[in-house]
Amino acid sequence: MTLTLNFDPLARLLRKASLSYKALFAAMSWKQYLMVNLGTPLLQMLCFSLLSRHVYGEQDLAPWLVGNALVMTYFNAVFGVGSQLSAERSSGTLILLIASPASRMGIFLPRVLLHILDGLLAVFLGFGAALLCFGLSMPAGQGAAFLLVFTVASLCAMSFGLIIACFGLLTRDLNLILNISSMAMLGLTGANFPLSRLPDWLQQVSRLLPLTRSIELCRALQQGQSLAAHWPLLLGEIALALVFMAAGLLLFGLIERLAVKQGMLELF
Amino acid sequence: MGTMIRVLASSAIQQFRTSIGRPMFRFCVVAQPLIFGLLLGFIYLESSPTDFTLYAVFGSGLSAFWSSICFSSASDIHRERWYGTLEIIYAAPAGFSRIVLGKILGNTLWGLFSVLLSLMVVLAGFGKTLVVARPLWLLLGLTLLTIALVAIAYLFAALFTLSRSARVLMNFMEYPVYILCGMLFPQEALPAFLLPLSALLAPAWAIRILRLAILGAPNQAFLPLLGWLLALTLAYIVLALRMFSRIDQKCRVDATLEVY
Repeated sequence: MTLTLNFDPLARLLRKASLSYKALFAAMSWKQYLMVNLGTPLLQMLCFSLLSRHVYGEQDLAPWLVGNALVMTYFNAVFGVGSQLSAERSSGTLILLIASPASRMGIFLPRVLLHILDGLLAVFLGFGAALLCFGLSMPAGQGAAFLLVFTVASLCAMSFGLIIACFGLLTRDLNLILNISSMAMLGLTGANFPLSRLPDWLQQVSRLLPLTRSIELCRALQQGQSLAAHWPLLLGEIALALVFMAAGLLLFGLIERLAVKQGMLELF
Repeated sequence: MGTMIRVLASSAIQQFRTSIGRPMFRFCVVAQPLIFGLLLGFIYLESSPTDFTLYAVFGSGLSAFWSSICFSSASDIHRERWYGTLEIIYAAPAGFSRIVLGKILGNTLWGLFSVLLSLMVVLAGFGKTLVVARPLWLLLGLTLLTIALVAIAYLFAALFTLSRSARVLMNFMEYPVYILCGMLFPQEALPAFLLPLSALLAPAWAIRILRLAILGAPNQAFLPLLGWLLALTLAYIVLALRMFSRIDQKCRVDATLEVY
């Protein structure tokens, strides 16, 4: 038996990404995986799209279909990336992870990679459902622009998930944080009602959340406007993703020290 | 009869006290009605007062009620299995099906609290008034809706006793019930092919009663809805009891109670 070590950084990155992703879903059957990962977000999208059709009418439905399709990516961000460290705790591997000599960036960032693709898949599914079930029309020749915005939206949402994940080091039950974060993204990103209905301070909060800008941008693209006319929104979302990523890494270091000091890592 | 009531009451009180200790349950009964109430309030802000009352005020509370019932019936079985106590309560002389029903009743009390909480928060938060033309029918509808939700939870609990996928299934079942029962929008907004499925759910008939009560329909309009609601609720209870008795056999033959 020979042991081969692969020092190629890209291969290592992909291996870490696939292993952490598999660890999260390995115990599930394919049927369960599809139900959790795509079924529930799709049902939520259909529910809020039907609700929007009732409230805003068939004529004004497109912006809400776009919003609800794009916001589906938060499932991966919150329940996928956000629950990573909590899942490590459940499987008893959190202390091994923390004690490993690997860099924190090396541990943390690869975990986002497959979830970004997964988030993209959810968004495609959402738009597919909007096209098939509600007759959403998409302008021709905007495919690349949409793909870019979807990718940036997914990246930004997953980076936000990294911040949520850090709290998995401190608490035994992350569900409360996960569910409040998911509700905040459903309610405050403008996916389901005009943000102008929110009080001023909540409108400011919504600007600090992932997906708010992406949803606005996607709606503009769906109406046939060009990406170039709205580049500040795209740059804003990319900047937000970088800030979330940096904040996640910083928070990970801080909370890790706190968790070790307080002996919280093995609390189950 | 006295023993049965004592078992139900003990199980319900124990569940009422312990379930709120879990952060996820606190989310279901406190945070979800608040957040859902505000979300639906903002969505229905410029809709008619009856739509606002039915879907923003009651819809948010009822959806949180369903979530707490759904998560309790499913996840309590899952949790007992995880703790290794499922076999113990299963074999208890008090009777497994009674203990489970007691648990559901305990959580139902918290579910009713969710309905009240969202009602107060949405009305206060948006400065709206409750528009109910037939308050007595509304109260009757809410009472029967509660019984129907308990019956569904009882049926699910029986199914989940056999399934190792309870946790996955309970997450998957939340939105279909919101959609099919018309908790967040009228059942008329559903595609036609979903209406027969909606008609098989007792809460859907209860929500129709609530809608008519809010709109102020005459008494005779309520009667067919009441008939369907009672018949379906009774059918769920009979089915659940039969399932519990079949499960008793199956659990012994398959020996899967402890399989996680």
